Amino acid sequence: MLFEETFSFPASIILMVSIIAILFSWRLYSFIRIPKSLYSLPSVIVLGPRTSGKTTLVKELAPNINFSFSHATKKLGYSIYSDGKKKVQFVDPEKFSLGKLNRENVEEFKKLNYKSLIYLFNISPGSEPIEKQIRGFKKTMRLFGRVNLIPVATKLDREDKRKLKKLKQMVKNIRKISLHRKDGLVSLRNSVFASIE
Amino acid sequence: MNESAESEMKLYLSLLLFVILLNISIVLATVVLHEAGHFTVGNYFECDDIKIVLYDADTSSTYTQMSCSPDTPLLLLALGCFLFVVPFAMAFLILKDNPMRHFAWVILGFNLLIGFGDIELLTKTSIIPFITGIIGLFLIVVGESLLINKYLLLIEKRL
Repeated sequence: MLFEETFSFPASIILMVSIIAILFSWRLYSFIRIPKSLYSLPSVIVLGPRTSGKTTLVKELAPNINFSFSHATKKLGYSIYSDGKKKVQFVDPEKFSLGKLNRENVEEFKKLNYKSLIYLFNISPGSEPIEKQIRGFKKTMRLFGRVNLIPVATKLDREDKRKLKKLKQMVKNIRKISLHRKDGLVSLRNSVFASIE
Repeated sequence: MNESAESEMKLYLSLLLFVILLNISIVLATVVLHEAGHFTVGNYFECDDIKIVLYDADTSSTYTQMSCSPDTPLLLLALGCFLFVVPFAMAFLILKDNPMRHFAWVILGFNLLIGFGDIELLTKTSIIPFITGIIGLFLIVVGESLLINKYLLLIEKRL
């Protein structure tokens, strides 16, 4: 009786080495493929709590070109928008860093040529408590230091009046947008462009 | 290529070499344990002339050979290939945060892939072994991808 294997021992090694070489090259390629523009183009990072609409906002602000880039440590979506003269890169860091925002992954963000930060507050009834969102905003301010931080209240179409009132009391110059009704998006994009030389 | 990019590339190439060497060791161990499983079950059923041949230059193959009485259950002899390989693979899952834990999937997948002939002996068809072979290949790709990702993650933290 003979229990013969599909591949001989040396063939198995060749097979496995080939699989590793292919997978490794692909992962490495995706790393090298990170466009140089990712770190050089003026960027606007969109931050905020979960389900605040960061990804949707990036797609709305730069609807024409969408990229996504994944790497061993980070996944990132970004879109480039050009008004014909200037190019701005909107970065959706939802999946950029593993875990929550902290000093370590802020260093990753700082590699980007970021000019502004948009911080989203979800003011819909089912969202995180507004106090918690404000704490997140203040932490972001501390972590990023001096940067053009644009606070934006989203989900205006389903606003919780108490949350909005509290937000207005605690955060100055709050902008209001509705991703659903597409309100306030053009003006937000214009003010972002204005902040870039 | 600037100096830092060059040192990064060296780091990646050394990682590739490391992963390849690890895999060769794991493949060797899995093949031996696979054959040892057949050997042990054959021995249990008192088969004669049991031999593990890692490489037969005449037929370019790896196999376990034995002479058994006709009433020896072929099913158990064929399934012997899982006897040591499954616990070996499961042992890797104990390594919680170690990237090497993903070798568990590679080992199981590889065992299914090389066990094509054993499953064919059992089922007498080629469809089921073909499906298990595809599952095996899938497990290998998933395991290796996770492994490589984890190691790249470690390198990333160092850079």
